[in-house]
Order: sequence, then C-alpha cells, then structure tokens
Amino acid sequence: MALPNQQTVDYPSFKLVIVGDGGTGKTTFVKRHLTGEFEKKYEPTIGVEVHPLDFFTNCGKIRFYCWDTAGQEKFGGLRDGYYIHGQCAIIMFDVTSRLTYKNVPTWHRDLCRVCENIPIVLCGNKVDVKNRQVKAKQVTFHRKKNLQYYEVSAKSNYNFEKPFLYLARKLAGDGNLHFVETPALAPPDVTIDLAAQQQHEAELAAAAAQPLPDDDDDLIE
Amino acid sequence: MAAAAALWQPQEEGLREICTLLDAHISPNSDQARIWQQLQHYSQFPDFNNYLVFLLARGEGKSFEARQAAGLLLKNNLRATFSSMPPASQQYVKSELLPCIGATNKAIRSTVGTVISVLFQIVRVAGWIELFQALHQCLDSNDLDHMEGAMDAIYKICEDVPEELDVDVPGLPERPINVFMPRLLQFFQSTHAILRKLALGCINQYIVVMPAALYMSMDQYLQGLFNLAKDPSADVRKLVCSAWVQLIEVRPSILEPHLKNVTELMLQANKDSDDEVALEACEFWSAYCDVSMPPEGLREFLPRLIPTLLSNMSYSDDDESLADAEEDESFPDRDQDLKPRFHASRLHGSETGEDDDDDDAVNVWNLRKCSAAGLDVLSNVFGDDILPTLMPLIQQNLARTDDDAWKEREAAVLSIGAIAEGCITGLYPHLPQIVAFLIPLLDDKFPLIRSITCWTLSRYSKFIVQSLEHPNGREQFDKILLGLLRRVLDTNKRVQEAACSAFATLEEEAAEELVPHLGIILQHLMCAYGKYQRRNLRILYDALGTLADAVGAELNQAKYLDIFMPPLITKWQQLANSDKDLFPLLECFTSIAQALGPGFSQFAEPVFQRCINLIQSQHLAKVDPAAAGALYDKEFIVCALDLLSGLAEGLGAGIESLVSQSSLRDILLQCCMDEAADVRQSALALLGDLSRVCPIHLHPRLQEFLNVAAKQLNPQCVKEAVSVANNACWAIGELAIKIGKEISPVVITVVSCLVPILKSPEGLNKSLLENSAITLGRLCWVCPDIVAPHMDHFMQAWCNALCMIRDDFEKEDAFHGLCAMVAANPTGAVGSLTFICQACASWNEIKSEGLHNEVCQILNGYKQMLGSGGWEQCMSTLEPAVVQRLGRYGV
Repeated sequence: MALPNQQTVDYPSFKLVIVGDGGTGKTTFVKRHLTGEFEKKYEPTIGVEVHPLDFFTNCGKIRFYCWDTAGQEKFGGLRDGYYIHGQCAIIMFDVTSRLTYKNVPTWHRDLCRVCENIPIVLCGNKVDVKNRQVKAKQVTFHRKKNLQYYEVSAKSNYNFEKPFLYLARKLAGDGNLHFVETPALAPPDVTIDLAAQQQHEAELAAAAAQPLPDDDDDLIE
Repeated sequence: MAAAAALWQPQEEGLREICTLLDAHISPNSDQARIWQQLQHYSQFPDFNNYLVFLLARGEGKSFEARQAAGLLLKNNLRATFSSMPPASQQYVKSELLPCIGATNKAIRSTVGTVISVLFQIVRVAGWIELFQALHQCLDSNDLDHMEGAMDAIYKICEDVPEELDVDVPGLPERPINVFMPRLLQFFQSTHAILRKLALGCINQYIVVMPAALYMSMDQYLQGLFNLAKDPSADVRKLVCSAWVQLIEVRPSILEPHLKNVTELMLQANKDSDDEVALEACEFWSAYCDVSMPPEGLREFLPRLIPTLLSNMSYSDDDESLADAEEDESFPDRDQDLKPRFHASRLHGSETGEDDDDDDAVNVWNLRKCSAAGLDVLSNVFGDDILPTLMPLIQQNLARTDDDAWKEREAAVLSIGAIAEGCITGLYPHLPQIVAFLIPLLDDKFPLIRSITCWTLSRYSKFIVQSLEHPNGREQFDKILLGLLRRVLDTNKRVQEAACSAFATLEEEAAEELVPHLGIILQHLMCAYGKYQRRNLRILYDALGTLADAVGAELNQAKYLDIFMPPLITKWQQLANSDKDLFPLLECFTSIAQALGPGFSQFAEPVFQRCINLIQSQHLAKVDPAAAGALYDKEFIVCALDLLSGLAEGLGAGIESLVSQSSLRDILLQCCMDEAADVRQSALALLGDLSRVCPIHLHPRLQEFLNVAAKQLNPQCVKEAVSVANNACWAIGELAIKIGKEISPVVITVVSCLVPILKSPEGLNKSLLENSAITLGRLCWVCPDIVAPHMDHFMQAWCNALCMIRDDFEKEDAFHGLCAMVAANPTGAVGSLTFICQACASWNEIKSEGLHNEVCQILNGYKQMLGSGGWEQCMSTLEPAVVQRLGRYGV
C-alpha cells in the first residue's frame, strides 16, 4: 500500500479522506484524537488539514493520515483533488441539519469518482443534541450504497473509535482486528467557548473578504 | 475559433510551477495552507483554466497525480465560473477535452469523464454538439480505452442529469438518448465486463425517468437483463439485481408478464456467493410485497425462498457483533460507549406515541438484517401460511446442538422473533412448545444465543401473559421470568443489555402478575445494580422504573423497600449535583415516588431538598458558572422539576409541609418564564400538579402564574412549543377548579386562545385539543357568567372536541361546564343542540350521579322547549347509534 511521499513512518499508514458539509464537525471529530501531531490552536479548515492519527491494533500500530477537507464551498481549494490516492473515507453529516444529510449523495458521488471501491463510513454527528432533525430511521443512504453507518458525537466522544476500527478491518482484510489500547481522547463535554467561536466566525468572514496575498505575481502572464 | 484556440500556448515556467504545486499537495507533509493560497492566487489569472486543461490533456511527462488534480481543479472552476470565462478559453477547454476521452491512463480517462459531465451540465446538448460526435467515434472505435472512456463519460452524465439526454436539439436528427440506447443495449453483450457494467449502470439511471427510448426497447432490455443474470462479474450481477428491484418498485406492470422468471432469478441471486449481490437481491422480497401486486405469485416460491432467507440470517464471519462476544462485565464502559441520552419533559395528556429509536441496531444493514426484514414482511403478508415451511427448518436448526452450528441455532431463534407479529395466530396454540424450546437457550454456551433468546421471548410477552390462564401457563411464565432474571446477571454485557430490555418489556405486559415475584425480581435487579457498568446501568434504571409503574402501590412494603431503596439512596448521595449519571436516577425516583404514594414520605424530604438545590445551582451556573462550580445544563432543571411533579403526584397533600418551608413558589415561577421550552414545559406540569394538591401555597403569586401560563397559549407560542401550551392549558384548568372566581381576570384571555385551537385543530396534537376542551369546560363551570355571552363562538367546535375524550373525571368537569353554559343561556345554545347531543352520547357511562342528572335535565329541557315536532326533527339529523345512546338520559 506504499504510495509516493506517503510512507513516512515504518508502520502501515493509510490515507483517509473526511468529507461532508461545512459545520458538520469533521475537524472537531479528528481533533478528538490527541496523539496526532496537529496544531492545538483552532484554525478554520481552509482547503485541507492533514492529521496523522495512530491506532494500536492486535496486529501492530497503524496510522491514518486523515485529510480533513473544507466543507465550505468558498474554502474548498482543490476539493476532490484532495481525494487522489484516498484509501478509505468518512462522510460526515449533522443529525441536527437535514440539509447536510441531503448533500451526502453528492459527497459520495464525488468521492467514488476519484476513489473507486474504497471502504467508506457514513457518520451522523452531533447525536448529543436533543432535538435532532434526521432521525436514525430516516438514515437510509448507507443501505443503497453499501456503506457502514455510525452515529457519533464529537462532543461526548460517543463511537469515536468505531469508524476507524471498521476501516482498519476492511483495509487489513481482517474482521477480527481490534484496537488493543484506547487512544487518548480529549475529555468529553469540553464547552465550546462562545466568544472564541464568534471570533473564529469573524476571522473566517474577514479571510473570505480579504484580497489574496500576491507573493508571486509574475508567475503566470 | 479553432484557429484562435490553437494559438494559445502555455508558458513553460508557469506550467512547471503549477505542476510542482499540484504534486506537492499529494504529500501529507506539505504545507497545505500555502498551496491553497497559491492556488487562489493563480486562479485570478484569466488563462489559469487553459493551463489546467493543458496539463490534464497534454501533460506528458508530468505525474498522473498532478494531471488528475489539474483536471479536478479545472472541473471545480468550470462549475463556478465557466459562463464568465472568455469565449476563446471556453472553446479551448472544450476542444482539449474531447481527444482525451480515450486516454490510456485510467485516472486521466476517468477525470476527463468527470470534467465532461460537469461541463455538459452547464452547456447542455445544444452547447456542445461536438461532444456527441466525439463520444460516438469513441464508441465505434473498437479500442477498449476509447470505448470505456466514452461509456464512463456517458455514465456520469446519466447519473448527474439523465433527463438532459432526452431532449430535442436543433442540429441533431435524434434525441441523444435515442441514439445511445441501442448502443448501450449492445454493450450488454460486450466481452469486457467494464463495458457491461457501465451500460447497465447507465440504463439503471433511466428506470425511474423511463424515456420513450427505453420504453420502446423494453423487451430487448429485459432479455438483456435475463442474459446477464449469471455474469461472471459480481459487479454486473449486482447491477442486474438492482435493475429488477427498481423495476418492481416503480414499474411493476412491466414485470408482471415475466414475474415468474424474474422471481426465479432473484431466488438464485439471493444465494449468490458474493454477499453484496445477495443483499441487493434480498431487497426484492420487501419491494415485491410493498407494491400493489397480488402476492400470490410469490406463494409457490415460499418453500425455496424461506430456507434461503433463514440461511442468510446467520451471522457472517465479519459481523461486528461477533467481536463483543466475551465475558466482559468487568470492563468499564468508556465515554465513547455511551450514547447521549435525553430526558423527555413531562407532558400532561394522551401520549403522542412517538418511538424514540435509540437502538443502534436499527442502522446496521447487511444480509442478515435484510433477510430478517424480508421474513418479517413475508410473515405479515402470508401469515401462518409460511409456518409449514419455516417451522421444520427452525426445529432442525435448534436440534443441532453442536458448537459448530451455533450460528444456525442463533438464526433460528432470530426467525422465531421476526415472525412474532405476522404469524401469531398460527403460533399461539404452539406457544408452550416454542417457549419450551427457547427457555434452555437462555443458558446456552454462546452469548449471542443467550441475548437473541431474550429478545425473541420479549417479542411474545403479550401472549405469554395472555396464556397465564392456560394449563401450565403460569409455570411457563415463572420459568421465563426467572430465566430472564438469570440473564440480567449474565457475565456478558451484551446479554445483560438484552435481558434487561426484554425484562422491561415483560414488566409492561405483566403488570400486577409480577406482584408474587417482587422479592426475587428486586433481589436480581439490585444485584445487577451492584455490578453493572454505566451503559447497562441506564437500562437497569429503566427496568426498575418500569417495574414501579407496573405494580404501583404493591411496591410499598417494608420488605421490598429494604431491598431497593438503600442502594439507590447510596448512589444518590454519591453523585455530585453536576453528574449527568443523576438523570436516569432522578427519572427512576420519579416512577418510584408515584408508585409508592404516601409510602414515599419517609424518603421525601432529602429528595425534595435535592431537587430544589439542583435547580438553584443551575440557575446560578447560568449567570456565574465559576461560582456554581458547574456548567449550565438545563436538563438538570427539567429532571428535577419532573421529580418534584412525581413527588406531588405520589405524596398528594403530604407534600404541603415541604413546599411551605421552601422557596419552590418563586423558583417555579422563574422556571415557568424560562427561555427554554422544555424547562417551561416541566415547570407548567409541576404548576398543574401543585394546583391539585396544595394550591394555597401558590396563592401569593397566583396572578403572575396565571398570566405566565396564559401567555403560553397565544397562537405564536402554540405554534412554536405545542407541548408547553398543552401543559399551560392543563395547569390553568387545574387552578380554575381550585381557586374558583379568582381565575376571573384571565378567563377571557384564555378562552380567546382556546377557541382558535378548538376551531382549527388540523396539525395540532390530540393531547392539546383534549386539554383545551377540558380547560374551557372548567372555566365555563367556574365562571359561567363571564363565558356564556361568547358561547356562539365555540359551542360546536367544543362539543366536537368533547366527543373524542374518553370517560374520566376531567371529562366530567368539562360537562359541568357544558351544563352551566346551557343553564346560563338555553336559547343561545339551542342552535348547537345536535352537537350537544353528540357530545352527551359520547359517554360510555357518566359515573357521577349528579352530572348524569344534570345532563338528563338539560336534554329534557330542550325536548320540552322544542316540542315533539322540533325534537324529532333534531333527532332525525343524528346517527341512530347516537339517538339510542341518548335514551340513557330519558329522552
């Protein structure tokens, strides 16, 4: 499974692409895994952020390079260009927002056009919110497309490991593979600092409004 | 134009820069933010897209990854900005793409197809006639890459915008789909699996749309599908199954003449060695039964279909459930194992019957689940007729007691559970034998057999309880009860969970039949309480709460209280005010307080005080989390309010001393005004409960309570929070009958809110409608002089709503109001007489003699008033059954 420029550790590693509408919690979800070498400070997802997440299985250590892609159109960057050489994927939607579930087929289609026949997990995030809009029984997309579905909560950590375990089993071709050590997760229920969140949103808006940096103006003429 | 386009040439340096950037993005270690910024920067150049298409189409010597990325980026740019691109650039992009349809590299070929489909969506057929010429050339080329590339592009177009190919376009003699269809059908016979697959995939997109081109070729299409049934490629077989399933779903009439052959093929496919093919085929049975076709066609296949379903119900080797099958009760649950749970605020009135599907199993979809669902559907359609085939197989599987056969044994038990509803008539006489089969399996060596047996037994709870009067019925009931209790104490967490849930189901059905076993039940549940991990503890609380609801005051005996109260109190004391594990415990205490009634008074004081503390500390946390030492979570307030309601209901007037020594009144008023709907909902429920048992303590702030409650009934509030309005409405009614004339200041406001609810009940829930009718009645009863002048506005709608309420004391109150209205203004009400008669006839029996006499009096009064002619005329407009019921009132 070695790929160009990818094998930077001496144990098996896989490219995992995480897609879904903006605000469904993709970044929060991957950042729950604290062993990764990522920035602790908040950065809005522009284009893509790659988080290496290690898991310990009964067959040894494995690494998922999680390509956490921007959900928001305006920050898309290469968008499906980031899927190239993806070996597995998570499609995330938000059970408190119908629209994010409605867009799942589009994310799935774009994914399959770049990565044929890779294992994919559908995740319904934010099941910690009381008044969900997409009920468990209404989630049927995974049936038609042979995806695995998990309900998760990035807030409480509910089912955090499940998508990774499923993908690891599929990639290893070993249904008995299991994690032998629980990865350190950020404690649940960390409150989202409202002031900080508002600041992020302001920053995002400002970033979108700003002219782009022109460091290499003369490159193409 | 072509000449102008040909003039464009990339700058070598620019090309290299872009390529370097696109190569770099593939690495997980690159500075992605910088790459993003660079790309944003480049995209400002008007000919950036020319570079991208050049790289994709002519980037020989560059990496395939960079070329693929260039193509995908181009596609995204086109989607956003194609129409504003310079025409020369538009033309350049179009013309560069076409020669690459058959590129030798698969990634490039596929990317070109993706770009073409997106560009096609923008310019449509008329904007890109050359595309069709190019596609046809490729299809005719006999070169696999070219054929596959063209088919890939066509497939993507069919997936994205199938209807766009079914249009007349000037310059084309035929609709594109009319030309493509025969080609697609030809490819069914291609020697290349990929072409067969793409051709099938394309046509599958058209089954719903059904253009004339497909309809006219239907025979050829169906024949093609039949021919591909045994295709060596699993992908092809899967698409064939998917086509049949779609056809039966949306075009059953087309399949009807071929149904027997199709069914035969699906039966074969259902046994396919490839699980995905089998799963796709398995969808056929539910689809068949769902459409309006006579199911009889399926009957002759049952003897072969049922064994297939049963065999597919066995766990597959990679089923996730198999992993948890060990002795794991001592492993603590982690946060990630605990599904977030929610407390449902108290609601006064009929249940809305909304099932909360907190069962994760509902979302697992595989051959096992699909087969069980299929069997369930068949059992509902064919009922007992499936039993002669199914039962011998089940017996055969159950008889295989060797370890190797455990999955078959498990599937047999699952199937007994699956047909519990559909086949109960046929199974009922055999229930003793079935249960006798199942009971030993509760102690099977394999945990998944133990857990499925718990589930299956619970599916028969209702009938097991019904059979109590049969010979041996009680003996079997006892065995099941003890068997489930044994499993509640299983060493496997999954079995504990299944047993606890099954036991709660049995409790609901068995109710007072549990009484003789209370001691042993409580001993088991409390033993489990000592050893369960967090996840199953929640289910255990539920089982305990359900037990309290089921047996009520029977629980109020010292010998029982001594078993279950001390551990609960210990836990209650251990948990901090900010610990969410308190929620299920608070709920459990609510059920227990209601069940024990006055018996709970010995525990009431600390419980009451804790609830007050919880609410107060949350109110503090809301404004100053640091001082409260906790983060605000309204769920604590809601649970505490509901437990206080439980206390009020259980202790009755006995709660008075607690209330009088507390600041509950002020706290409650504050909660009634909370901005969170579920807090207001529970607060208003408690207001109603306190009104019943100690209205005197609400008195000092009575008008404030009334105003707050009345405010919840304005149309906007009803729309936004119907359950809050429901409880407010009920609480006002409860207050009215306690405080009498003091309700006067809000009567007109409330009545004017209730009337629109009664008059246009569409879309509102039944509970609100009933409570509105009852509260209106109570207001009429208490203040007839205020309400009577307005009765023209509501009499008929009100009577209609009263008809739907079942006999109870609340309905009696409402009828006191009705009688008071008639007494206040008999001639005013005469216009609504037929409605009044219908409402009176809706009683099965009025238990209150006084009310019965009142009703007799008003009806006889009208009979006299109208004279026999007028009365007879009124009666003739009523249904005979209504007239007959009115006979009970002596008219």
